[in-house]
Amino acid sequence: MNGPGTATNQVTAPGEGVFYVCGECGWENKIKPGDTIQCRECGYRILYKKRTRRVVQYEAR
Amino acid sequence: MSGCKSRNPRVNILEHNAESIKFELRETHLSVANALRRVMLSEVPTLAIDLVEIHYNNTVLNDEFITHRLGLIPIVSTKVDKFRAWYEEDEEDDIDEQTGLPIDPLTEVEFTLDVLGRESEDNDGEETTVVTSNDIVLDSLHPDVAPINYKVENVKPIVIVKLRPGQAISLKATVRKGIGKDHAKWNPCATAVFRVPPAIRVNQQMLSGLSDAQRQQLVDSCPSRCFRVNPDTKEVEVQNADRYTYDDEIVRKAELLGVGGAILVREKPEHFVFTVETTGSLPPHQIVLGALGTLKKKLNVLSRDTARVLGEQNFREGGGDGFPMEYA
Repeated sequence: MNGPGTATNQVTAPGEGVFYVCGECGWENKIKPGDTIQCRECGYRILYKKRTRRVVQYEAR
Repeated sequence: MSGCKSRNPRVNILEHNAESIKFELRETHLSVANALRRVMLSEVPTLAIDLVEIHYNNTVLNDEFITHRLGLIPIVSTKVDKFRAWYEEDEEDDIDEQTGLPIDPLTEVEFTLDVLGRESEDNDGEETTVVTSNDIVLDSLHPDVAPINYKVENVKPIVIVKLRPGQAISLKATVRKGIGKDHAKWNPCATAVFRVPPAIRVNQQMLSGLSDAQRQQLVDSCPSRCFRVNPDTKEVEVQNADRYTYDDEIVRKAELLGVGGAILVREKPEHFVFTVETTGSLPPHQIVLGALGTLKKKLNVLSRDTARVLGEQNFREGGGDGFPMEYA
């Protein structure tokens, strides 16, 4: 896994879990349904969802 | 209807450069001057970025923020006549002089922006990459549609976002035609104002009774500093009338000094001095001409529709079978 701020391209199959970024150390944690919401490296309990890999469109208004 | 005769307004250009124009408009009604001012601000079409597709963005600014900044960048709009906006009907296509076929008006032009923050050798590799309007890649089919001062030497471009090493931005931006009434980013004016110059009359005979000190007091009472005492003749005279703010201070001071009415100020009738500054999207004179064109179009619609309504009315009142036009 990777350190903070690096662009990664992990793709997970359905039910395989989703990567979340630790709010304290920036570690990317793979969280599966039923897992505790906690960073595996530092134990911090606030995790952030990563940005979508899809293209997003906005009106410049 | 006394105000209905047609008139011949006069225009006199006072100053003109790349950024602004100053001109006089005379012999027309205040409402016409104001209509011109309002149309310059809100109904002269220009180009602006209107839709942004973000492919990648891990910068410190969020997508919406960057999108909004892109929208506000002035785009050179000299070719705006070749575009059609969403609100315009697809009637009057221009005819190509060589082929005789109608020219399809443009609706959209696409810009792209791809920048990666790189590490530099010096400065511990920590150097910010500045993403500016010069990093925008133009539509290769329309190289004359570009942000203002695009890749012009010695002119600072418009900063969009700053990157640290490892951050990147990649997007596609769609440029469209629009008007200031829809969104201020399409407003071509930085300033569009007019003022009515003053006509100032100084009665020297009434002032002749004042001492030199009193005259100086009188002159100093004007906060816009439009008067002076002539060093030779000691007469009070107007120095720069165009700076007068209609504050009336000197008129009141004259009354206090016992020479009420010695200085009279009124607005010059039917005389308007316009100052128009551009954002850079259109040359200043093009804003004025564009506004006149828009006003003309509006008046044509008005006269066409009034003629139609009056025609229908006449038909109903005087026409034989009493059916309105649609059923006849």
